Amino acid sequence: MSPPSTSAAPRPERRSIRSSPTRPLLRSTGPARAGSRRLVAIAAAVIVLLLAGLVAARLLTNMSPATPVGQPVPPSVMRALTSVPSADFEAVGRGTSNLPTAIRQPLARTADGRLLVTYIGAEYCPFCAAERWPLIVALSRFGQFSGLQLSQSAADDVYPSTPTFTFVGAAYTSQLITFDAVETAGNVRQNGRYPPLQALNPRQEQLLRTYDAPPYVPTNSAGAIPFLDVSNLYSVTGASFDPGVLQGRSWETIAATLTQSDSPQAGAILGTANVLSAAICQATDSQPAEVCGSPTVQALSQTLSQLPAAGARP
Amino acid sequence: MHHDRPPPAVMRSLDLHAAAALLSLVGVIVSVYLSAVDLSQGQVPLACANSGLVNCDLVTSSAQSRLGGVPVALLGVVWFAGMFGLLAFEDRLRLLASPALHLAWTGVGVLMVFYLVYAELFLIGAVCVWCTVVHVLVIGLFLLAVARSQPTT
Repeated sequence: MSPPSTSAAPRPERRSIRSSPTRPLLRSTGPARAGSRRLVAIAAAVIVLLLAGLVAARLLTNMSPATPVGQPVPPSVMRALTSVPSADFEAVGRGTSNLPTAIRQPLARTADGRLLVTYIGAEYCPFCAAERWPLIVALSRFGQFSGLQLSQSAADDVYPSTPTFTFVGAAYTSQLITFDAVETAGNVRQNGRYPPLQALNPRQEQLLRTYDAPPYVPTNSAGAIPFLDVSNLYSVTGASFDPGVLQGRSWETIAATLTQSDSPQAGAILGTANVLSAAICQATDSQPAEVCGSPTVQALSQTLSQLPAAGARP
Repeated sequence: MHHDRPPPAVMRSLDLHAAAALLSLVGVIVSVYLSAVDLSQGQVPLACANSGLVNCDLVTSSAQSRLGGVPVALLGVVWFAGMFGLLAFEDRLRLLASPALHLAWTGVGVLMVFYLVYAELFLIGAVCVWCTVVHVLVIGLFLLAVARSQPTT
């Protein structure tokens, strides 16, 4: 057996597996590696400095803190509003909600036969801010919202910056209800006034003149907002609960408290939602059964039925 | 002289290539997860804080989470998959090995990172942990592209 050759002809130099016409043949060279590392370090430093600059600019400018106003309602908040367990509704009952005004006029319907629920408010209004929470919860038991956005009441009003939503740009679909919402003004003053958003149509104006006026509301509350008309059966003027329970809290925090039936927020929002649901159920002839057949809604419907009707027939 | 293992420079290049491929793969996985959360409208849970400064829910559902109506997370899947493709096939196609192409691809990613961080700080008012993970991956890939672009001869 011949020994291994020690004098074999030198093998041709192998090309690096990483080499190509666009990539140079790689050989280990100290200065080149050091240069590469330096360039990477410089690139990293530039990126870090630019990002740090962004953070510093945010911290040091006089801009108001960025708020999520105008952003879509986060899914977690939306779920909390639209998927309240029946047990939570039952545990709260009426909560701390005021009762609506009984109008008991012929039901208002749209041309396709659906019941008409009308809301008139404004984004600056803190009482509207409060009322939108249970209104969304209640209406979500009869249909579905889309396109809701986060909003806040005016920062320079009572109950400043109350976290809420806006119906501007939102849509509501239901087999039973047509929800007609109008936000008449924005929430940030321009030249001393809240900018107009949506104009009232003649029907809405007539509704305000008729049911947001004596004898349905006190004289000093005539024309007040929020105004809610449940198919000319019941109306709500002003907030159904104290907006103070929402102060200083984020949307997520408020949404999370809805599962705590003994919390002031649940008592206010779910309680009012139950009252509104009972009013709507009277208009829908107790449809759907899973909502209108609940003990709380039935009990509240009884309560509402015993309210004296305000005003005579026009 | 016969090498029974690649020379150090080749090893380093392989390391950088492997690192870039790994980052790209992780980026694909995270972007797919974020896309699933977005497209499922919350049915796929988002494992992150949802209140205060760190609010993944708010950031991932914000108006800025879409570019031309397309979820940014989905764009991330495309970007990271493209990056992985460049790395996987650069040996087979000369063009794909171009350092300029890698720098341009990752540079676009870094510019997008700057915009998204700006949006979080100035427009949304919250940051998302998962988004920050993606941003770090993008920046890492850019730095690797810079390193791999340098000749060592």
